[in-house]
Amino acid sequence: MIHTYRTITESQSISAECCVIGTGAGGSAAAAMLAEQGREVVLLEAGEFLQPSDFSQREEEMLPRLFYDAGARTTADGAIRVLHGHGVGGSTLHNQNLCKILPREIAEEWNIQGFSYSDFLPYLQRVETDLAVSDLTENDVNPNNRVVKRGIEALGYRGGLLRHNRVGCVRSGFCVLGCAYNAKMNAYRVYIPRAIEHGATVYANTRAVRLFWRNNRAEGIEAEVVHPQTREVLARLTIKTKAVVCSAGAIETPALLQRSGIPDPKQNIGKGLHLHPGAGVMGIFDETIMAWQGIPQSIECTEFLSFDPQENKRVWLVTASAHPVAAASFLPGFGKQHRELMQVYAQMASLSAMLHDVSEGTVRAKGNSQVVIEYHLKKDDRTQLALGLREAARILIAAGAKEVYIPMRLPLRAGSLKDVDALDIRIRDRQIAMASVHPMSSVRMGNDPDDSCCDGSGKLHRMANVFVADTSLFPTSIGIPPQVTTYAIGLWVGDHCNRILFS
Amino acid sequence: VVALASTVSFYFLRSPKPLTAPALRHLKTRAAYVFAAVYGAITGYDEPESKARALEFLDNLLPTFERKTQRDLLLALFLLEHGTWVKGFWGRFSRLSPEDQAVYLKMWEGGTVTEHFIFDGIRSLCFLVCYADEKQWDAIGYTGPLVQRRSQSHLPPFHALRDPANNVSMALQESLGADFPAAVSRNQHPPSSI
Repeated sequence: MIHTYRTITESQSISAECCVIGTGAGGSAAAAMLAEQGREVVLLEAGEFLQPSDFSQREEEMLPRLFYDAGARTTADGAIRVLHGHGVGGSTLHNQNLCKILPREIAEEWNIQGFSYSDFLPYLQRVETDLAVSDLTENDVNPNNRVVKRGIEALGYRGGLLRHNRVGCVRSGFCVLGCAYNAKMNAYRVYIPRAIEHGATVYANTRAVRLFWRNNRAEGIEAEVVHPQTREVLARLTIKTKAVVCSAGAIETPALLQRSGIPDPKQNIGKGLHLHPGAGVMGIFDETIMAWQGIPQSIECTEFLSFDPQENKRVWLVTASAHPVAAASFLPGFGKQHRELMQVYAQMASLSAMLHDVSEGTVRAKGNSQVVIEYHLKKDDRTQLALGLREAARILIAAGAKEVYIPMRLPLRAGSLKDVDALDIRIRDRQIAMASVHPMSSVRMGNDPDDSCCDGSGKLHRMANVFVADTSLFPTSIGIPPQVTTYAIGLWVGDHCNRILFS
Repeated sequence: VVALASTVSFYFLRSPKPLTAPALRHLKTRAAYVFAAVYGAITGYDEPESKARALEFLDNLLPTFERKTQRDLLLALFLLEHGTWVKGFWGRFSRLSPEDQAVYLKMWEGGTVTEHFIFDGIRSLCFLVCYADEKQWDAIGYTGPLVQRRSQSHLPPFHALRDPANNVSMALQESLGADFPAAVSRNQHPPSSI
């Protein structure tokens, strides 16, 4: 059953064995696992309950409904836009369906007691089965990805087709605005229905404000039912529970724990944030590309990404397309020059460089609902990102672009490989449009309670019955889109929560 | 004192550049003038008809913004309009020449963190108003949505929710639309085990 702000008109107190906060990849999977094992589960979701018929494919309507702060959330210095979603299904409502599994090297580097790759692998495999993950085919490659593939092949770089979780995809290209065709095998379509089938209840438009606890044991959660447009508090919910699973994402989960005053003498909660930030390069072609049509991301270049600790290769190149409002925001400058760039929007292909970052930031709760994200790129990360942008530009030129743009405040332009090699690419704060769509590692797993927040099961070291089940748990960046790993973490944590507290 | 008073009253009482504006329901006239000027300078669409269309679009969009966002927008427009003095320009933003407006906006873009935030917010809003407008799509070759529907951009006003007639006797199933049970039934295959 799903309750929304329309139906929760009075403050009330409810009780459940388990309360899962957040309904994205981690929360939905944790809830499904707990419910399947006979637990009575309540899910809280700050965003709306949207269905395929609500997805209008219009940016001005969907961005505020799918993203925190209408997609305008940034780091404190305004350098990086942090895009993360809300709504029943969380970020899986707007993601691009990329399915890559946690690299073995990363898990081994974590070296966490109670979390081994071999134990975790079956959870990853179950997610791949549940989400019907499959290889894309050449027919799925749209013109934007086709030119990128051409460039990768021309330069002899490593890369190829990605794996996705789509069934019934009509290749409309509006994935980022929610799938109007319900073709995403996401939290909304797979794990939330499964949890509901097993008796779970979802409260949408319901924002967890704080956990209340005593003697290192959570006793419940205070939540507010919020009107999606006015943000007015319509009612308050008190949920009494025996287990809490926090899955509100790497920004909201630490903020909630901080607001709750969870014991954290070393102030580890909110520390170690990785943003997996990225920036794009645009190439102008003679041919019509119409990058917004078709499956947005089907080709990757892995030439500059390695998880071998001996190699310092940390950029992943993948196509990036955007509908006009987002595209205009990411293009550099303003005025006549910007207008002229937008007039060749249909001939534009784009490729983004995403950084497997070692820089660490922090998340800090501010008031009842705000967060402050501090994050600054280290020198080596800046060098890696600059390398990624240069290589992205080279790929587009090799694919036949007549001109490439690196969207600095003072745009860098090049028309040949030689010009690209000569570009002076320096990553400075607020000089280039950067975005983060995969924030992670803000409530990290680890062996030492003085240097981490959770153990290998996802349970907070200093609480008896509070678990974390989202990207916050990762001790480092995982360098790839985290969707499959996050679902698997949800299943893992749900399973361990049940074993530890209820078996 | 007289000279100062005359200057101040000349500055504040003199209206911004006149503009052919549509009848606006939500946007105040003075804010509309300023937005039109900023919009023209940022998007490069500074023809009067483009500005009028942008104002109409923003006027329809405004009620969908949170109240705090509406207040922030008005404050940002005020600061941009009158921050000229601090940056060494004589006269309000909407009265500057296009060249001076561009120089002035570049100062905001590369200014302090707060200035950058204000500039970036206004810049994003201008592009939203410009490129979410389907009348603009032909000019950039955008083919637009494939579905012919509008989302609930104008949700019922808050008081309507408190109206007992709208409570539908607390029927929780009301919240479940037609698609959702279908999604459940499509996924009837048993979960794989670990």
